Amino acid sequence: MTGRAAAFLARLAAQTSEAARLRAGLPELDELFRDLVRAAAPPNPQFERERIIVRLPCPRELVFLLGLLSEGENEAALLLELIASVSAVDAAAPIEHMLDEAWYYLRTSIDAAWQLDDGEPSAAAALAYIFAVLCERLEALRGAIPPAGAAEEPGRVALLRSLRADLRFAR
Amino acid sequence: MTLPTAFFGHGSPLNTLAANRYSTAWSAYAATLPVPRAILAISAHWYVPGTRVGAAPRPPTIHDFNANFPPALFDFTYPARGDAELADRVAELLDPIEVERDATSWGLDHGAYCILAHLFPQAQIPVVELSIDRTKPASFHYDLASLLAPLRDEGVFIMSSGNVVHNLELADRTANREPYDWARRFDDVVLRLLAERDHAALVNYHRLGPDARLAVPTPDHYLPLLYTLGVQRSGEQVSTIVDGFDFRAGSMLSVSFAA
Repeated sequence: MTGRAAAFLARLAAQTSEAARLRAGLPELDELFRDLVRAAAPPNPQFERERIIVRLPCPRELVFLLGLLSEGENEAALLLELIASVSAVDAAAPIEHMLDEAWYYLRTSIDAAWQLDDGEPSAAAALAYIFAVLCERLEALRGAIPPAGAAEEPGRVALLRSLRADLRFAR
Repeated sequence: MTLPTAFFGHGSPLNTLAANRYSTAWSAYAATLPVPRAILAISAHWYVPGTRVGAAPRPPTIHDFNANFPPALFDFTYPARGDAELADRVAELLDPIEVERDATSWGLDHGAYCILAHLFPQAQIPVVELSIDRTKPASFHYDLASLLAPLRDEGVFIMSSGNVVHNLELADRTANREPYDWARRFDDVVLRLLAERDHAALVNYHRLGPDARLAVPTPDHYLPLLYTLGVQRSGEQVSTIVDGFDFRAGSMLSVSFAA
């Protein structure tokens, strides 16, 4: 895990509820999306790149379009945004169906055979996972580390499971 | 006169152009229907935040599938008119649920026209599509649909399109093999619950065990069924239009309700 991802995880863990973690984490994820666009877009001086990047209404969609976010990761990130927006309007609104769906998309984006899970889905773990893999992709774009390959899959499974365990609230 | 209502398992977008046992059954079913004034279509593929109703005078044909499909499918259009009056009526019936009239962002997706191309190939009946609000739980969709039931007495054919079993991750396109055991079992359970009119169990499908979790890994293709259940009247019987499986993990079950 990169230093940026570890710091993000620590900030998430310090929050006292899942809703607070989403509120705190999603703006940082948006900023990471913008950093990915900055790293991926060619530096054309005649193009007001930074102004456009800062104003992007949904940087996630552009990152997905650029192929830096898989379909499953994109769906999971979208659902986390929806959970946050629904909860902001009504803290008691049902969100379990969206969380289940997000968790399914995320785990099958790593391993299509990971169909039946042995634990509860976690919005914060999903968020931390997406943040962590995108930090790695950002580093790879900047040439700091080699791009991850298919051989990374067992590590990804372990990462998602460990984040779920690390971010579990005592019941 | 109350029009029948139906749920269709649409399967691959290729069924739009195909002449196979599914499309043949859909055509034969249409021949039994009174000619509707308009069609309200609920498709798995308009699965967005919010309840939206199509309001375009001529809804565009949306080719909502990847580029690996043949050019003929991208050339296909379903030129039905929209129906602003029906869109308004839907919003009226659903009040106080907020309904956005959408004339620009969507049209008819393959979940709708894949079936309509065989039901009404001349596209002479106006079609209005209704979105599925992905932020809402299953019970919301069933309850919402029940508000639409009066349309069946107003000459509107309410059709929904999805798949009772739909697991793309486990789909096996290499050969036309038998469905997975869990897929067949879940399909059978749904058909039994439909016959028993056990709507509560069907709405709470996620409590139907591991088979349900494999058959309905995400809600989008199952929820359309709840719209057809929601408009079912007491005393109406379920009849199977066609059944079967594609790619081991896709149920093609299509059912109709009529008195």
